[in-house]
Amino acid sequence: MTARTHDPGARLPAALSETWRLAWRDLVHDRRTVLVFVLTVAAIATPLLLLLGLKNGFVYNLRETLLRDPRNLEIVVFGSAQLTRPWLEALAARDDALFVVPKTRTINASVDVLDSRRKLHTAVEVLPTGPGDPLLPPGLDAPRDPHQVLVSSVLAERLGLGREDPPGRVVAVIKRRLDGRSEHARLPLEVLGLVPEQHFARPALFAHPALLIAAEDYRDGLRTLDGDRPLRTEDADRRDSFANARVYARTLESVAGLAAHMRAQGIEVRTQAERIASVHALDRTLSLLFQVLAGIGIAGCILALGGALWVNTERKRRALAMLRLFGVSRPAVAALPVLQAMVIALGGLLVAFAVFAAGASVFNGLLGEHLGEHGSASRLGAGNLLAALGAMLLVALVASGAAAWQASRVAPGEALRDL
Amino acid sequence: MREHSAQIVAAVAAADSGPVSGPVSGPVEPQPVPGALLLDIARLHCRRGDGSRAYRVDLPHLRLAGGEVVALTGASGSGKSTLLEVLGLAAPPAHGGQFIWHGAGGPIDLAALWRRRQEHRLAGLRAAHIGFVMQTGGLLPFLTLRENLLINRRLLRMPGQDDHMAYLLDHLELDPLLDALPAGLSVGEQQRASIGRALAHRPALLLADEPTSALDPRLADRVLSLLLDLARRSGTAVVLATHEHERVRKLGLRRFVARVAPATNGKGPGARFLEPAA
Repeated sequence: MTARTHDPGARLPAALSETWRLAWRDLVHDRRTVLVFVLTVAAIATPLLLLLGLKNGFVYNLRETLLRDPRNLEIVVFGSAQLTRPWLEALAARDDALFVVPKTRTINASVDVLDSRRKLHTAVEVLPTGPGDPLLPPGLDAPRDPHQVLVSSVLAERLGLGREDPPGRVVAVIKRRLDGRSEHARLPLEVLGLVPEQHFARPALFAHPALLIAAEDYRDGLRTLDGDRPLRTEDADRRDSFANARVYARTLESVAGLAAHMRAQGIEVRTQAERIASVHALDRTLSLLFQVLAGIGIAGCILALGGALWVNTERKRRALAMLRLFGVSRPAVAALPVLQAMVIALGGLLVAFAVFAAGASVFNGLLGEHLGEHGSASRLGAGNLLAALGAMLLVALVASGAAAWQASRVAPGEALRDL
Repeated sequence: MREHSAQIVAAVAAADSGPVSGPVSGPVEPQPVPGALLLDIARLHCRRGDGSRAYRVDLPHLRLAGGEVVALTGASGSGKSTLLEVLGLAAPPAHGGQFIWHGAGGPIDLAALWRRRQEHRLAGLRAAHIGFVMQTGGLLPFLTLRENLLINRRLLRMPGQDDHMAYLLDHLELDPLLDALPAGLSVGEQQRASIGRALAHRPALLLADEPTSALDPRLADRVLSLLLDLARRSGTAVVLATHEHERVRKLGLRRFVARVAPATNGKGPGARFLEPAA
């Protein structure tokens, strides 16, 4: 007794491939019924996918609108504080911080500007900037030298600066009263580029922090400014304490945490928390709505597919009994409806994906024009697709449970009984 | 009676030097051994249905030799199919009684395997050593004729082609139909295919349940003699359940006849299959 031993469970991969083959051949033979099952699954899965896509798209667009304005990421330090350099460095090193640059007192954060036509523009706002400043458009580098500045395009228009590269030069005029006398210093500045209006809508200069610190020290009477002697960044490095800072969180989600961290250190801050929280609340509400609908849909899908598989197994009882009679094991026969349910579920999901893609492009065509260049009304990520696949396989597994139990109870002797 | 069966065995042994016994490609497989004891049965009790519908089927004595042909005769409903289910290891016998396999790998106490619920081993024995021919519909509707014919061989991982298969296909005249689905075949073609499927893996025992009752009488004669002839050449023993006493008598087969007993006090209805005295 060598070759002719037949242990149905001995070689699992071989037994599984044989079971798979039988399951597949039965599906192909029964293709019309199978098509109905596949369309049933697709009919349930498609609206759920579209709903999820629309929810994602809607929330995504709201978030994009918030993100497009970096001020929503900003944590504004209110009033004056005592921010030391190590403290600012530690803050910048945090994972949830995107950009931190020290600021002078608000009263010292402006200068007068003399344009090339020798016209004076008073009290122009000066913002300290640096590499990674979220207010700067991509591709526009922050000044590396205290004598270099970026100019907001609103200001550039007033100064008569052209769009040529480099746009030109201006002179900053800094006034002070020292010992009852009025003095002023002139600092020649090279304009490196323009900050477009959609990034910053007010007239302003973006300067190296050293320029602001030098101006503040000059106004405080701590130093002199000689137009012929260039400013050095090293002068600013000696400064250890700052009244304020520009602080930006990395994401909308990290704004609250970073603000709380700063508040815990006794610094009064303001954020756009309400706007962010309202988007999050909407996201949660829509997600809950989707989960309820998905739950109902999945339960319906399990019942519909489960019932169909049950009836199908009952209809094929005799064929299953014959397989048992021929020595196919009980688990293998029970696996037939499970494998078939998986194929049906995957087929249904593929149809649903195809219809979703068509539906999503229609939605995007109808609604996309209101959504800006990157907007789309409906979107599903790879994670969503994988989750849909997993959920569908789970549906197949649960739905085929009853049919599998039924198939496992088919006795081999039934094949011999009278029809 | 003993003499009679011995004659048949001798005839089978003589006929076995036909084309089938030539060299077979593929793995070495035990050939059914004509003449050697295959099944040893005593006081075998089977039960059909439960409660008020319960029905007893008894087989007091059967020693079946390899290659031997035995008929179970009785009216429809007398319990022939129930007995075949038990003989085919497709349903358990009632407790008590002797049911021993003496074929390849034997002796194996089949009754004990059932008691110990060793379904896997029983399924394995069923797959390897037993072939079944049903009254009708003995083919899987979703497989082609070729796949149906080879399904038992596939499950045993035997090669799809060898001299035995070629011989079967030739004599059953199935070659032109191999790619058809069962639904496209006539009843006669389906029965021929069922016979081919049941014999494809050269089982030691073939169980046939009214294999010709769905056919018209002339065709029935031809199909039955084909079945017996091919089984004889394969060295396969046959248990044939039929209600056609006359046909069995004409063929001169060893037979067991159902004695149906109605319900009596304390005992439900049932049947005993006994070998009539010669």
